[in-house]
Amino acid sequence: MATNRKIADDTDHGVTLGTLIDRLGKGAAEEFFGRIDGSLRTGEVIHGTNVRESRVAFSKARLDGHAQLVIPGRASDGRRGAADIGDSVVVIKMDDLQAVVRAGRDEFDWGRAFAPHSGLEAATSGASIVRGARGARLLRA
Amino acid sequence: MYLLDSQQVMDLLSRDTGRPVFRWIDATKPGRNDLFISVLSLGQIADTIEHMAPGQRNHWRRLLQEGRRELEEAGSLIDIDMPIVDAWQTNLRGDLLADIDGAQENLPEDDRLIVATAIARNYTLVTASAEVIDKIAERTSLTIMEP
Repeated sequence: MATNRKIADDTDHGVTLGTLIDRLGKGAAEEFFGRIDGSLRTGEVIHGTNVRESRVAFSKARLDGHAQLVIPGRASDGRRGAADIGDSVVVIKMDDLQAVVRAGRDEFDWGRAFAPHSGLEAATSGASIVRGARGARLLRA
Repeated sequence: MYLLDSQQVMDLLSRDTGRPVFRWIDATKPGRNDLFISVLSLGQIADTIEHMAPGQRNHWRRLLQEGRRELEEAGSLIDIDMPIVDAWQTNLRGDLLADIDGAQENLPEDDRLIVATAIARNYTLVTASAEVIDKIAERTSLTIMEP
């Protein structure tokens, strides 16, 4: 489980799709990854920009599919910036954000969330709610 | 938006994917923010568990604990608030029960508050067929769906 993990390795070489999946879930992460500016990703890695670079590219970020991951403190030569991906900032057009949110929402599966798993087996016997006419008493005035 | 009645919640928490609620979920595919559960249902389930045999009881306590955590994380638990109490008081409390003759003993007050939750939030109540619920749906704005 890599949630909240440090991304020291990532910041040297970019933020991986795997790290995003840990943070956002598969559907949202893949949608977000696909909406990062194409020049800022290679293979399954996003190359974060620094604040100065993000300002220069701001007008481009207003177009669909040109989101940026800005890593505060990261030098333009790529030296390590923020220690945790949670400290980074996303510059993203609202339409792109909407697509990411929807992709994350559609991913949730109640059946899967409540499926049995190792360490918690399903109940083997049927169980019915205990019912009774509780709470029928009247209050005294 | 859907509100599961307590039996459907218990079946969900059982993690027995052969139960009707799982087939309903598979067919309906509600999103994370489409399915809700009253806190009263968790209370009813906890009460039911305390009446079980010891071995079954211990397993069910874990099922409830894990299920409650999942539901809290999903933001799916609904407290009893004033609009719900208003819906209960107006239509469902005591011998009012939607003007259904002789219905006072057919549906406990905690179940009525769950029905009131569906009415106040305008959610569809997912519940097994029951005559008294059908009659409430005929007389109020309640909508129901059978899993």
